[in-house]
Order: sequence, then C-alpha cells, then structure tokens
Amino acid sequence: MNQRLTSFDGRQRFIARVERPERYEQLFAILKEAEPMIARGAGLSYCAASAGEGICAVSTARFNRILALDRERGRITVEPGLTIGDLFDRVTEEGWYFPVLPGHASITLGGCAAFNVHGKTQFDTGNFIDYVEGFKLFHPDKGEIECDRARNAPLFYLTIGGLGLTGFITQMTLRLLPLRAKTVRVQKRLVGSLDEAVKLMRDVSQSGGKLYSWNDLNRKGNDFGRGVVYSEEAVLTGPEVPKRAQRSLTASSRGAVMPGSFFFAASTRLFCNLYFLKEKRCNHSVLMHLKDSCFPINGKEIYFDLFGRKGFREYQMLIPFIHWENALPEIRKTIEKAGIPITLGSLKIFKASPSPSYLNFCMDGVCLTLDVPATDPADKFFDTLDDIVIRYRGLANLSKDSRLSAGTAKKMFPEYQKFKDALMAFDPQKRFSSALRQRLHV
Amino acid sequence: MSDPKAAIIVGASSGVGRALAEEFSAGGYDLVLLARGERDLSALSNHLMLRYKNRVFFVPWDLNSQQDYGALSQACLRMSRGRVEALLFPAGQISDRDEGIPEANCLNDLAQVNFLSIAQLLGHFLRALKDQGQAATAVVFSSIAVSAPRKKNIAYGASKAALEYYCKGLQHWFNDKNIKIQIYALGYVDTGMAFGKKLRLPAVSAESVAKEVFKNLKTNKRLIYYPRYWAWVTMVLRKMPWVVYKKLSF
Repeated sequence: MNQRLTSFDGRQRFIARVERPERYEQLFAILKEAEPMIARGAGLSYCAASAGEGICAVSTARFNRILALDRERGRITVEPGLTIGDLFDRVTEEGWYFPVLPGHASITLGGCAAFNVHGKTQFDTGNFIDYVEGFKLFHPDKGEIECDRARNAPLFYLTIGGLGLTGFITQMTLRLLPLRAKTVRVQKRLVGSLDEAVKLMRDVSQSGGKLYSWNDLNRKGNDFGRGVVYSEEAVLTGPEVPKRAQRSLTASSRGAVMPGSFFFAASTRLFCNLYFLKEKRCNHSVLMHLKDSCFPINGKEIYFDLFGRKGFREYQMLIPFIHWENALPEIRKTIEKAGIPITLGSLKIFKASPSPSYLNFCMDGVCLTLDVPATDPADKFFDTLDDIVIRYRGLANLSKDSRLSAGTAKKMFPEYQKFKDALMAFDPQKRFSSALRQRLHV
Repeated sequence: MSDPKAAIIVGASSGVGRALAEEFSAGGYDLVLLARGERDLSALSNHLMLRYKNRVFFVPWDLNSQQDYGALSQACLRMSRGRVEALLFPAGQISDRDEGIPEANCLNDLAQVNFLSIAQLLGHFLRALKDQGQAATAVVFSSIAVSAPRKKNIAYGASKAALEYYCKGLQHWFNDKNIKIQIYALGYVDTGMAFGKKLRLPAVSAESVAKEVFKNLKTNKRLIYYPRYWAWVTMVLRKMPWVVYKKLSF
C-alpha cells in the first residue's frame, strides 16, 4: 500500500509503498522483491532514513518480540521492532538495565542499530554497538547471516551504524548491565555560560551517570549559553518513585496540532527565560523514576508540535575537546549573526569508540545540539556550522540532519569512502536504499 | 496447587490470534498455539513466557493441510493438561483471487481454511470435552460480510457464512450443556487483511478485539458484533429494499 511518509523534522514528504508483514514468511517474500527496500521502525529519525521515493518501507512493527533472556549473564535477544521503552520495562523487571537509550521510549532497537545511537551517558557507557553481542541480518541475495565480532565481523561493523543499508536485522543479542536502582536523584546546577557548562560537565563526568545540559543560546551578553547542567545518581534505598504514563510519539502525529510555528524570536526568548526561571526556582535535586530520566521527552511531545507543519531543524555537532575552546567563539558568532531563534541548546560529553568510525557519530569531544524552526535561513545557518565543524575536525549527526549533503559528509567523515566502498562491495545491487542514502551518495 | 487454566488458539501467530495469545497470557492462561510458521510460533511463545511466566506450547499446523484432526486435537488437549477453558479460532484468510465469480481453486482454498478445517478441528475438540464432562467456551470469528453479502470477496463471505451457520447449529445442540459457543462478527480490524486498504469506517486494533473476547468469555453472549455499531449497520443493510441495495458499492 502507498502511504504518506514524512521525515520527523517535517522537511521531506513522500508517497511510498509501505508493507507491514505479520510473519517471517511474508517478510522474506517482500524483501525478495525487486524494488529497493528499507526497514522502518518508528520513523523517528529526524531525516528520512527509513523512507524514500520509489523505496518500499518494510515495517518492523510486528517483529517486536523478546526471543530469549539469559538472566544470569544479562543477555537479551530481541527482534528489531521492540521499542526501547518496552525493552526498559522488561529488563528492569528482571534486575537488568540497558544503558544506551535515546530520548523517547517509542524509538525501536532496529533504529538504534541503524544509527549506532548514543544516550546521555555516552562518555561513560559508549554507543549502541558497545552492547551488541551479535545479530542476524537478512539480505535477499545472501539469505540470513549471523554476525558478531568474530563471525562476519566486517559486516557486523558495517551494519551497526550502517543506516539500515546492509539488510533487515531479524534479531539481535544485547548485553545488559546490572540495575542499580529504579529511583535516581537528578542534580541541577545552574551555569552562567556555555563554557562554564562544559567545564562543569567534564568535572562531574568522573562520577558517571547521566550528564547533559539545557542551554539558552539566544542570550547575547556574557551569559550566552546560560542554563542548567543535569547529573544523576542512583538512589539505592527508599521506595520507588512512581513513573509517568508512557506516551507514544510518531512521525505522522507531529505537526498535527497546530499549522504554524509558535517559535518566533520573542516567543522563543520568553520560552527560554521562563524555563530558566522555573529551573532556578525548583529544587536543586529531585527524585525521579529511572524511566522518566531515561526518556525526558516523554510527556513533552508537544514541543515538536509547537513548530507547526513545517517542522524544525536540528544540528548536533561533536567538536574534539582540543578544539572546543577555539570553536566556541566561532559557533557563538555564527549563531548571533544568523539571528534565528534557538528553541533548544544542549550539551553532552563524548568519548571515542574502538569500533571503526565509518559514519558513526562518535569521538572524544563536546556534543552541542541546537533546534531551530524550519526556515530557509536555518539551512544557510547550518551550512555555516558545517564549515566550522569541518575546520575543527568535528562531526555532525546524520540522524538529525535532513539537509547535510554528500560533499559535506565526505569532508566530515574520514571513513566516508571506506564505508561507501564496503557497502557497495556487500550490496552492489543496492537492494536497500533510502532518501538518506540517496542524499549522501553512499 | 492445580494447573492453571489453558486456552487453545488456532491461527495464533499473527493478527487477532497473536493479540488473543497476549491477552490470555496476561489473564493467567497457559496456551497451546497452532499456526503456520514455526519460527513465528517459537518467537511468540518465548516472548509470552518471558513476559507472563506462563507455559506456552505450540504446534506448527497449516489449515490447508487436512491433517489427522483427531490426533491433533488430542495432542493439544494433552498439552493443556485437561484445563482448557477456551478454544479460540481466529484463523482465517482472504484471497486476491476472490474477485467476481470465484474460481474453483479460490473457493476450495477459502472453504478449507475458513470453514472446513476449523469446523473439523472444533468438532473433535468439542466431542472430547463433552466426553470428559469439561466446561469450556469456543470462540469463532465470522465477519460482517455474512450479514451483508456483496459482490466483493464472495468466496470469503460464503466460507464465513458456512462457519457461522455451523456454530449456530452447535449452539443449539449444546444448549443447557456446559459448553458455550460464541461467534464474533468482526468489522474492520487492523491486521494484515486490512492493512493498506481504503476502508469506509475505521479499523479497530487486534488488541481491542482480544480484550473484548476475554471480557465476554464467561458470559452467555452468542453472537457479538465488534465494534458494536456494526450490528446497526448490518441491520439497516439487511432491511434495505433490493432496488436500493443492488446499487450500493461497498
């Protein structure tokens, strides 16, 4: 059937064929058809990674089961359509925890694998690949292939972070960590600037646990980037704090509430000022259920609706620590010159991974994220940020950026060509494709 | 401590069958699942046992295969340890070939899957349960298509009509005995059958069907339209004069 699909940021819209197989026999029959295919989970990557013109999106929705759980060793085998919210619920019931969780419970594990995602503890726990023991991958020309770090290792590293372009993951085995506590204490520390936030985060990162910030990047004076640094520690005693009801987030629901954007310069400044004042007045530490701290967007889905139908744009950059002090003034100057309201600024601290880098968003450095309403000036603004990132040997997160060109990706990612060559060697017929693949020319 | 109650689900690996497996597992039932696709059954049974800590057995079985229904039913009853309280038959199939005057092979296939296999297997189960003096509820799934025949999916509608008549006959036969037969006339349900199709009314989720079945299991309801408004819609269609009905395109 043909469906209207939209990238989550609202930029790209397609009418494309979507299939939702219910059984493995149907799944394999669909994947063997001639048309280019792509696996589709929740469709929540901001760019069109699981859709494209003339590409059949094969939904993983019905492949969302837990196949095995080793309660002694903390290993779980799952199908790719299982959401990270459901994974969280099931493993915490058993005294385990999965530490790499992006911001909303509706995201699927297949999507996490496609982008080798990070959570809020990347500096401590690394990326998704660090917890993948192995998986089975189906390719119509090659059948079902078992991959791990010993068997078909090159394909293992090509697939996790491979944008879904090597095939359809039918199952994966993940390593879990022992659950310390279901209640956490979230500490809030006010910071007067972006620079102060980074210094504080590097100090606090020694003790592990979630660490991220909210920053107001609309400020013009010495308090550019003032905000709040959030850190977290497990609360080992006392009763469990209740958790919020889990809400769902879909690409189709975003933008349905209001047609136009709420975020203009004045309203954005007001929004950020009010948020800062609220955080300033609230308690400096608060007890929270672990699930709520893992999925902070839960209950705040309206944020995405406030951008209206046109949607939003996000730029997430990683700048190496050694270049951060030089890069920050240029980033600030670019932000001020653009004059575009920045609805969200946020920092995280990252560490490098021993895995091949390919197109992975991973290095030792500072991760800065900013959201803006979708406008033409936003694209020009992001083009300028690209130049800064390239100059300072940083990276942009491909899952967040529905604009970044092939030429830019080639300059930014040292292993761009290596990734492209490996992908073509494995799948010369390009049986799997997406709008993202077409834009990046990989 | 006695064994928990059990449910046997025929057509369990997808759609309403899978939703029933989840709902009855959550309700504390052990399960015996029958369907094509051993891999799907294995995945589902592992998932349910991990989640609900019940026992889930499965038997790969193709409704087209015309196996020894007697032996199959005995095997399922043994797996359920004599505690079966629910026999659920959500299995069913439509066909792209079911257009216009159905060809013989389309008629045969749909009759086999949607009526004959279910009727035969149900019959074996019911005889065994009656002989053992066991109480149980059998649930079959018909369609609103039975109440409002139309030019599309004629073979499908006919096979469901046969199943519905068969079960209504059994309801009459089992009157005052401790075995109940419930018939669901389903409207549009969001399963593989309806996915991608332009529907005149919204499809309900398979999970909501399963919840309705679980809720009604111990009641004396015999024919249940779900969603309920279909009872009114089909009544209007049945009462409609032929001169108007023949012009409808649905």
